Amino acid sequence: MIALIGNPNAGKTTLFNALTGENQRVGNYSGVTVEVRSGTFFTPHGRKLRVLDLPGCYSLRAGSPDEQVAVDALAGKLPGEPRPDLVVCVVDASNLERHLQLALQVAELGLPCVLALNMIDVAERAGLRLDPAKLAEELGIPVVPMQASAGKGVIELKQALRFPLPHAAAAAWLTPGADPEASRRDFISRLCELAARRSQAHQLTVSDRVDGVLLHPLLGWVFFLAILLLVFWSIFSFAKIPMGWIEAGQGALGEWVKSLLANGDLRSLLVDGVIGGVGGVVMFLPQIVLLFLFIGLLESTGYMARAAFLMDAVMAKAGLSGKAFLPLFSSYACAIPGVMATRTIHSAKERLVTIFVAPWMSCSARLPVYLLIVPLLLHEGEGSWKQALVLFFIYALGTLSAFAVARVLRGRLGPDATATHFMLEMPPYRMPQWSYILRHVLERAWAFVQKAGTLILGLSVLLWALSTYPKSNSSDEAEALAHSAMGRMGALIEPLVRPLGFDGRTGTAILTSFSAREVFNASMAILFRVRDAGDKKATRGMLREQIAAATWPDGRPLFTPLSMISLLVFYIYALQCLPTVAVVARESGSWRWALGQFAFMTAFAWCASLLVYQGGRLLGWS
Amino acid sequence: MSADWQSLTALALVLLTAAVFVWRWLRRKPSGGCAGCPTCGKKTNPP
Repeated sequence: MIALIGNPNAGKTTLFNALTGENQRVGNYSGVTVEVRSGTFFTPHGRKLRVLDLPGCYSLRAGSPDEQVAVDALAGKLPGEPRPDLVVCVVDASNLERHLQLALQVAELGLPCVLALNMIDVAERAGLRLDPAKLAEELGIPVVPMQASAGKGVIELKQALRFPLPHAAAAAWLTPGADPEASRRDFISRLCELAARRSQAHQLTVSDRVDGVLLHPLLGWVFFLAILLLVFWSIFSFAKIPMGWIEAGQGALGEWVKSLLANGDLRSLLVDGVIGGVGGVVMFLPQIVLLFLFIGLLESTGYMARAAFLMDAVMAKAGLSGKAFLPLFSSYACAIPGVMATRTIHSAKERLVTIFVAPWMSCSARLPVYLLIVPLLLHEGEGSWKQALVLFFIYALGTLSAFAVARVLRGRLGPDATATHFMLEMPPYRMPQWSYILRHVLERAWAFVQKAGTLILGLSVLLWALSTYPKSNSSDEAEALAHSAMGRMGALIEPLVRPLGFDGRTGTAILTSFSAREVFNASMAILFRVRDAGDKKATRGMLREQIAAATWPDGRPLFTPLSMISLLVFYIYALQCLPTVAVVARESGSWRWALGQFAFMTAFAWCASLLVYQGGRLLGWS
Repeated sequence: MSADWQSLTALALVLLTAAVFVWRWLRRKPSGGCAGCPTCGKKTNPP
């Protein structure tokens, strides 16, 4: 078995994918890998080798949970994994001085090593003249120059892994009695002078020049905000066309079923339950795809590291460091990988706080709810700048609240026993790796469709049953709904949600969305199929029109701008995701922490909604 | 008559769906694995 080790963002996962042909997530940002993954491949000599992809680490001192994993793996202490027979140290050729530190420490362990001199193309463009043969001679281990992202050097690396394996290096750089850190530093600077010479003492690269703008104290923020706004605007505007197709397809399918079946329960189940429920969720697939595409693009080009750099000062105000940026940003896609990515954070207290606030970064499951409500709020079609701005504020509200709570919580937990430092790799800008991005976007889209086709489909059928049974003899649909289990549940829950501006039906939809947030749309589609008498347009209309036409029993519109804002605020803050609670319990090692977080966020959401709705009414808004 | 036939079929579908949910809940994985999420959809190998 062999292990891949290296500093964060040295390209271990890219090399792992190139070796094994797998499609693990890669990003031009440090800290993407937080767990050990394994795969197998064949060497040109026909030997089957198993390879472990370890999380990136700067040293073998084991400061954070993911570094500890790497150290344990090399020592053979990882449960179920033997000590590796050989270690491939992946180093960034353009950053040899720093990356060799870890390589030397690994060699000192007495394990056979091969040095994968990755990103040789970047180093050459930066004006470095590398001499792999000299490096190999001085280090006493085989050195393979490569460009893993293009598959160059992969065959040569596989050839270097032939049996008998290379000998362990003699660690000649360590002098007895001297400080090992200093000995390594001296050896590396001498080695780099010999084998990695710069053509000019100082040369500004393209990345440096771009960074001059993107990391500028003022311009940097202008670009940062502009990029975020552009992302939100694109989510609304580009997705308009495919969303129209899905909506039209959904309508046509409903009509087709209606033409086949006479009026009855089965027709109602298929049209209102299945097609309405699943359609109300699937409609937002194009926007989910766009969100993941943009996150992939920002990661792959290297901009994410710049965003973390810009955000470090803001994070510090919240008592967090820039290390918390990637976990929090990942939570915009989904809180679960976000919570797992907190393993890169050294400070245990900072990690707990980051886990606590991560679900307030609006995840992609909330997007269908926002996208249903925001156009209603503005009385406009899809794709306007105003909608993008509202969406931006929704995300900003969640984020700023998370920072405020983090600050309070961090203050209460007290300082760390040992100070930790935030070190950030500024990777050079690269062209996006389209094949990876597209494959991952497709994977995520497929996961979303699968969820809609299984969980959402099942829940839609059950929700339809709850809103149909027990049946009443009345021919009036509103009365029939009030008689049903769902209607009774709504009546039961109404006193709790009425102060927030919602009726029992909306309350029931909120209740059902505690299983998964997207279920809200499916529930609304099923619950609001009862239209007010005489409104033929709404009867034919899709979910959004049905909601807009809904009224209280006294005829007042149910969804006023104020109640819609109250609903949005509830969804920003409520932790309606059982898988997240389970993952938080596992990562924090405490069910109390997870349940406390759930109770706090639900209570906070209710109070914030109450404040918005009642406060707004006091001010005379409707 | 057709309404009766539809009612029975709809009821059967609802009961079948409920049975699938119960069956899946009974066969759920013990806690410890990834709970699954829209990011990767895989239940065993989180990103």
